[in-house]
Amino acid sequence: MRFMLCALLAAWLGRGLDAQAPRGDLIERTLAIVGTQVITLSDARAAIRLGLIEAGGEADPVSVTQLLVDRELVLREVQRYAPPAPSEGAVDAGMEEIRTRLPGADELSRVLDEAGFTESRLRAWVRDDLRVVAYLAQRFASASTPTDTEVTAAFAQQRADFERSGTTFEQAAPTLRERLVASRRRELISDWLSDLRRRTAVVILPQ
Amino acid sequence: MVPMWRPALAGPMGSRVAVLVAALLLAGVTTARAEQYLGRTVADVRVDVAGVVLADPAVIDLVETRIGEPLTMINIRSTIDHLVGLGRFEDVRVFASPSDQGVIVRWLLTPVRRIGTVEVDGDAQLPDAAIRAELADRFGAQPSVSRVADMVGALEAFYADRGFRRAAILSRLEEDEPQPERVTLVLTVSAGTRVPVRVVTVTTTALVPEAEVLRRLNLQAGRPFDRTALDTRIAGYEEELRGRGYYEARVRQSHDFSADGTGVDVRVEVEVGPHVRVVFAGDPLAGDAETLVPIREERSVDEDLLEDASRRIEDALRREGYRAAQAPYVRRQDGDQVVVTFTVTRGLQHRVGTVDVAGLSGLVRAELAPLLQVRTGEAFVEARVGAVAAAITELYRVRGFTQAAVKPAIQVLPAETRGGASFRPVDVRFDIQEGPQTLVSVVAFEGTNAIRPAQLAARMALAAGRPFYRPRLAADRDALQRVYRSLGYQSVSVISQLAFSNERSRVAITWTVAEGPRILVDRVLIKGNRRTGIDLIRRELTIRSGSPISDDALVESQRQLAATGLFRRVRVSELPRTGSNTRDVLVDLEEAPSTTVSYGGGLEVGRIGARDANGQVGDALDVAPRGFFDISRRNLWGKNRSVTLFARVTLRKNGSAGAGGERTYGFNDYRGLFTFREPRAFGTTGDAQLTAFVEQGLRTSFDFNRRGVTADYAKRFGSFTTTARYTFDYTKLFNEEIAAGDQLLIDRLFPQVKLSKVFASILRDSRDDVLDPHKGAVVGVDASVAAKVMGSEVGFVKTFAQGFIYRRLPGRGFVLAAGARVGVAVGFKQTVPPVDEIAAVARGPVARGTSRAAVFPTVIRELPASERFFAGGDTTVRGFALDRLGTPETLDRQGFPQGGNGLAVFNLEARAPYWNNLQFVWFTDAGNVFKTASDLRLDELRFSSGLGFRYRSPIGPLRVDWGFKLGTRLLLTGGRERSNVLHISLGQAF
Repeated sequence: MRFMLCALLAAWLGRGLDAQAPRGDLIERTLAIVGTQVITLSDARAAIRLGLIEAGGEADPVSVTQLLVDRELVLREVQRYAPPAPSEGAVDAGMEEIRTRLPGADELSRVLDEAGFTESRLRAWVRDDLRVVAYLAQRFASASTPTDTEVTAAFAQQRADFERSGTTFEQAAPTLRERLVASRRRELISDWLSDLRRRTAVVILPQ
Repeated sequence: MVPMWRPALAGPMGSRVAVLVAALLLAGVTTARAEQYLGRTVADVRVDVAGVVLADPAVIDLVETRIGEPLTMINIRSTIDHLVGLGRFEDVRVFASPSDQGVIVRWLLTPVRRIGTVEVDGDAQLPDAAIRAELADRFGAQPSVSRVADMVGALEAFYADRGFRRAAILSRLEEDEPQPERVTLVLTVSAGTRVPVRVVTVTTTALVPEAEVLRRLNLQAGRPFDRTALDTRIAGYEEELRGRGYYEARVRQSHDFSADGTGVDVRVEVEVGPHVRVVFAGDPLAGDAETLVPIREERSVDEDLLEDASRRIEDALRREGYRAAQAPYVRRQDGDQVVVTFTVTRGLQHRVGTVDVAGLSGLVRAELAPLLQVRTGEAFVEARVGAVAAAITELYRVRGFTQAAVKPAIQVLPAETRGGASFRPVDVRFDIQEGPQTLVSVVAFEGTNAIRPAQLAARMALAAGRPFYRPRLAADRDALQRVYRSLGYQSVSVISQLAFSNERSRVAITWTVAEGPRILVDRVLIKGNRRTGIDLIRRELTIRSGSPISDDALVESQRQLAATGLFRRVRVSELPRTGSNTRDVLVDLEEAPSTTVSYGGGLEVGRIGARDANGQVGDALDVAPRGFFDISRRNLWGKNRSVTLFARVTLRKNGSAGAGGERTYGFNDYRGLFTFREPRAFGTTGDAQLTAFVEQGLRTSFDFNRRGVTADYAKRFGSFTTTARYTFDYTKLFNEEIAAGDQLLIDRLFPQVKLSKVFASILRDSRDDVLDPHKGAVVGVDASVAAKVMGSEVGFVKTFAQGFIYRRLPGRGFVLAAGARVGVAVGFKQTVPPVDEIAAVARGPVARGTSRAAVFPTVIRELPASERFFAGGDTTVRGFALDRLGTPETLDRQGFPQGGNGLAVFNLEARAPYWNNLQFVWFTDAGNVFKTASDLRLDELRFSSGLGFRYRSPIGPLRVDWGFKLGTRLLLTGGRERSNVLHISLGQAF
């Protein structure tokens, strides 16, 4: 308790020091560096506001940093293999999807200005995302097909749920098979990402 | 990711400190949305690094939020890219606060910190050097502090491998290095006790007893466990077993640590495998048995390996002409041994009989001749015949015969005996089916916007009318991509489409180009230059802000910077930037030491002209130890200017003071230079140099002392180098060997002479190696003028032309070198007063001669001795000692050379290829020195020839030449010239 009071006192003293040398409002900063690529506060804010990453409802710039770092790591790997560029139509569709997520027609340009983005950079972002999706689909498509034994074991684990809904093994088998494939794919991608993190110099700056 | 400072702040006290620090740091700082400041005019900009205002222009220049301009996030974002890309900062924070005039922007930069030194304290048990080596190997020489946690983890694994299962490693960073961005990593290690071996279990056979295994692997219960050392011993033991003939020996270890970590159980499994003996029966092998049957190296005697060995033995014999060679093997068990027997049957040797070509019409036979490397009488090798057929096919393809096929037809004839050896002749015929020739009918381009099709077409090897050759298609595609990439189109893709017509005799090529975006340079970031000026670095770069990014430009920039000699390491690289058509380019430099000191010594051995006991000139052996010292200070004022002080001293006997004079050793031969050099002087691409010098040297007829200054300016024009020079020097002759009465008038009048002269030269040098050229040429001509109007005591004009050519002869690598040097000089008319008057004024040692010209005023047109031509010696005409060559008019009565105004020297040398770093040469030289330029006559040349050898040493070829005069002459004083001279020197003669 006494310590907390000291901390508060220090904060108050700090305010006094700051009054003599005001820093002002923090409007931009580096959050992480992947290789030589910088991820900034405005990148994170833009990614959240434009829905460019799957960050969940309570996302804040700091919590999405790791997601942006992972995206950059994957992108660096994808660019090494120079996969074919997606069609402009697909990019247009991605841009349109972003626009529809925003409340007003002018909102996109406002968010871009605040984030230091240009529309061409946003298009490049969408293009890169499409490249990543295509790359992952190609690279991890061959996640092994589960055997009947594995599907049976999975059914046995969830037998109670299936029985409650009156689903038979034959009905559940295709879904279980898909879930097992997806789970293995996630594991493979997770291992791959861990490897990418080891291979690349990543600096996540203290918040 | 663990923050790097965590270990230092670990524990309850650490966490309290962290809270306090965070509270202080965050006080008064609010994270705000930027929109309230965006668009407002920037009233002030401040850049702080670790609380200190930064004034470094290299950094300030990168900040794009400029006073008076509206604040935009694009500028802020771009600036952060530049600052981080520079590699000096990692945490960049931007603060904004309102002011009456707009917005005040403050940049707070945190420098990147790297670990410069690793210190180990505590109870480390393992050597500090081993720990540092492990960390350097895994994390590089200067890892970022952000890797500290990883380094600690790696070190824990390093200890665990060596039996320290409970090593505790704490890290802390100390900022005591002279550079703020470098820190010292202190690792406090508590290694703990090394886990002892509890139980050792060995599985082996009677051939290798357990006791031997334990002894060789140094394994014993209770001893400390060290997995790395055990692996090393296992590898050594396996090698030993293979040496004993157990080629399949395998030794494996596994270990389990006890649950409480206080011991380790080690299991060793030895698979000895059979003892193998290899036997060769029948005919002798064609090669080394270990190479042909590599079972020892491969550690195996499996069937695949033995079959390969059998094939290898047969192939080796077939390469010697034994076409039907067989080498089957048999593997049989003989007690504890496996005996592998290869039975070699060579059969009769086959030799090439006749060689013929059939079906030739599109090409002439002469074109095939260089490819027909199968000759009558030599051993018949089927593989070589196949290679020739493939080469002929390829030649047809190059000429556009895309479907050409060449099949060798072989006819083995009955055996013959010649010279006591039996063999079977083989007639070889190459049957050619040419097929149609395909010519390119048209080349078209699609999708080209940035470059005109005509420009692209000019770079294509496959142009209309040329033969179609598929590999050239790939080369053309690469050429197209290179052109685009050099203009910044980095993601260009090029595909080709072929349309054949007229039964494949014509093909139309269409290139489809997808240019992609053009990538331009945003900023050129320069890092690592402490002394070198930014302007100098930018001057050497071929890339600028706004120029296209290309690999060629980056490499060329790197090359030019490295060529300045100012940097120990240069790296020019593009910094990736996602989703943008501009990139920063980082120039990362490590400066070389600005002061360099070098010194050395050597021994000079040769023959020089000297007065003999009779007072006549002879050749004396000259042995002279010498040493040199050189100190240079480079990159003065950050502009690549340099100063150099060079001194060379030779311990040598001085020239005699006359007949019977004693020659004594001393530092009589020396040279000192002080040079100031400025590359790219006066804003040009030329280099300027100012030199002050003092030297003393010994020649055959006199010794001299010279001091002076020179100013040079040299510039390259393509492969030509031009030089302009002004020299002012003062030369004094002494120890003259020529009797006063025989001296030239000018030498008597000017034993000390002041010369002011200008010099110009042009030189083209295309040699492949300056010290030991094999091809290329050197051609040059120079001229110098001295005149009284420039302050010279004597006036003259002098010109010298030289040319050397080097050619590698076809065949075994002989080099033929030839050279020619011609010099002519003319003195300006000069009326001189009588010698007596000069002597009265100068009170100097003006010699009185018998010549009337010395007593009465007269006109002289001679050059002073220091400017006259001399020849003879190891680099001119090698049958003569130094300076000893000359027509009778240029020699005094004792044979001492006086030099002349005309010179001609010609050399021819054949250099054999190096054999064990030794090269033998044969040479013939011709030349002479003439009294005047108009006396130059080829029929008065003196010839010499000889042999020599070169030893290729690390500092260049060490040369020994023994030259013989082709015809000796009688000396004026009686007797004959010495017939030969030995020279020992460094570097080729020319």
